[in-house]
Amino acid sequence: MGKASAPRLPNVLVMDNGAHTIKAGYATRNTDPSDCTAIPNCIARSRDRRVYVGRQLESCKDFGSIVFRQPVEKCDAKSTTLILTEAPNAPTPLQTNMDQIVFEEYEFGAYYRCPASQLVVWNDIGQLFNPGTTLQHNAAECVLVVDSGYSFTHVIPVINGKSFQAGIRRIDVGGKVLTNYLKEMFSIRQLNMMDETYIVNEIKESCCYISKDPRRDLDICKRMKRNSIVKEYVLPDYKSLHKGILRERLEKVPQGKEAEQTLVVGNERFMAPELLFHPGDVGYRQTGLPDIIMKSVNSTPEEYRPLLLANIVLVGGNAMLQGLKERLEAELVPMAPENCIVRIGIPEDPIKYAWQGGVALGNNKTALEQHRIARADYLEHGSTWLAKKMAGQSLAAVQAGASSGVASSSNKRRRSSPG
Amino acid sequence: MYPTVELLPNSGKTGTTGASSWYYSNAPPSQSVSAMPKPEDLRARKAKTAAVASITAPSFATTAASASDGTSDVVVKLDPATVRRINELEKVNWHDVQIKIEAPFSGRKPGKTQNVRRVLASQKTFQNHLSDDIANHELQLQNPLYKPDPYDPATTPLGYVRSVAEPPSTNATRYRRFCEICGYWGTIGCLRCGVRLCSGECEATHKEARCTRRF
Ligand SMILES: [Zn+2]
Ligand SMILES: [Zn+2]
Repeated sequence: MGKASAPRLPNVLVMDNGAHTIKAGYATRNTDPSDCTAIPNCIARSRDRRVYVGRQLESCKDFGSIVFRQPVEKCDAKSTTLILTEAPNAPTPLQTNMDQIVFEEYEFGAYYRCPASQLVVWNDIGQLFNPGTTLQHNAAECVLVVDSGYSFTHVIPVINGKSFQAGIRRIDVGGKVLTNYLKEMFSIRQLNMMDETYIVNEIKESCCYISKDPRRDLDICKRMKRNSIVKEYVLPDYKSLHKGILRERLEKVPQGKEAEQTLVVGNERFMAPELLFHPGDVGYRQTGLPDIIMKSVNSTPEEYRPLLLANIVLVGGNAMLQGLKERLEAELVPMAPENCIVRIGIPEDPIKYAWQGGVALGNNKTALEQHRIARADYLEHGSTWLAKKMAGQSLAAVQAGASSGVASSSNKRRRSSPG
Repeated sequence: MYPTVELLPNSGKTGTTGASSWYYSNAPPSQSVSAMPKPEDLRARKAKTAAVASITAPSFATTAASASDGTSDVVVKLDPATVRRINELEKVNWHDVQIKIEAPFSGRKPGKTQNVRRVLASQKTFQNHLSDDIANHELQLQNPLYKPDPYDPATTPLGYVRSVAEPPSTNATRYRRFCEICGYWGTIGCLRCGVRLCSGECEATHKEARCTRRF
């Protein structure tokens, strides 16, 4: 593409900039998920009022009453191509802010920005459904990415490597709301947990699941004192116990354990994640996941619909909820057209999957060259041009027009002050 | 390790935890953002501009709405109690907290270029950007010189507001209510405060421990 000015950029840094964790690492031929560093995207303060930034959190021993504040964390490397993700439907000025920081503050050599879903498709999607098939090195043709993360759940059809814009749908339920709902339930029913986000999140991760039949499971929890669902969670006291323990309910408190504080976890285990299917349970006027999946699929041209339904990929932290795939399948099959196959795949590590896709893209030199923008080109053409390039087409004049004034004046400024 | 960049100012704004650009609140835009025109005005104006635009060029707003399979333009209104509850559920922390960050860029003045300094100094929250986006779009539609590109569902973003899931259809379990005490179906309501409960047993617990309002 006539990029004679592009310098040799030996490194490719892939950053999946999630609201909860940032997944970052360099792409090399033999990069594997263990090379990905997950940095909590937050600043936290513990009871002793120490402030923790990002990775330091791992060294924090007392998670009781830790409070989080979430900034955007970034990374620096001049001879590097940066592949960076953004939220779907991000307002243009925020994208431009990001672009300017990347090129002007950190001076990355080249840069590609896209929603995480667009990185997902660079993975070998076929392996998810038929393990052992021949390896693919190009972007999958048609994938319906269901990304259930910290703040939201998004459904994004990715066709020929690009998000199909009119098909992007969102529910405002993500891991954060699930945890907070759980907190609310425990606090009303048993013990005030309102300030214990970290612990309740651990409880959620240790025992929440998506029920195949919530009505039946609710009945089981109601009718039988002892059942297969109800469990007991021993809360950490940060003296003798640093991490909570999930166990079967004990008949009576064992000797010497009287000081233990426990929570009984019954229907909370499946009623909290049930919000993904019924956001209305806490008052959202929004339909559940199966509905938005069908809405999203039906907004694409007809020839793509069977392909999308047969290539649904679940990513994000909530994809780790047990039973999600089975429940979705059960609800989607009756909703899908009769001749369509519904196929859902969950990668081994749904949190790092977009990042892994970024690595695959980073290792694909031809594709990377097509997608990335060199810093020299940015300095020459400016922010508005870059925004258009990133969108991969001349976006609606709506957006270009809105920011053109700012961008052209900033170009002049930059030329007068070499940086 | 990687340095930390503070993209966002520390100043607390009411209603948000004053945190990142990705803090979302579910309050209807009309309530949360002062800069935004009322939804009624927006719709009236949109209709007007659409009528004008349809003579010369296909309007972004109208074509987008029809082509995207009935995505509603109507802002779903929630009652204040529900809005409050949802805001609570979307909070990062139960108590509003502010953590002071000493030096975002350790040891040197933040911002190499004017653009970056502008970004770092910006007090705008995500909500501000969102309402700006909507307002810009509306202004654009009013501009007689504005010629939108032909609507293409593949490349024209729906935008944050319009990509949200619609309300469930009427036959869906939209108003499922659960017992406050045990989480089972909330088939009865407390006569004094209206909270949903499942049985006499739970009602007794509720009245003893939680029922606050009395007639
Ligand atoms: Zn009850
Ligand atoms: Zn009551």
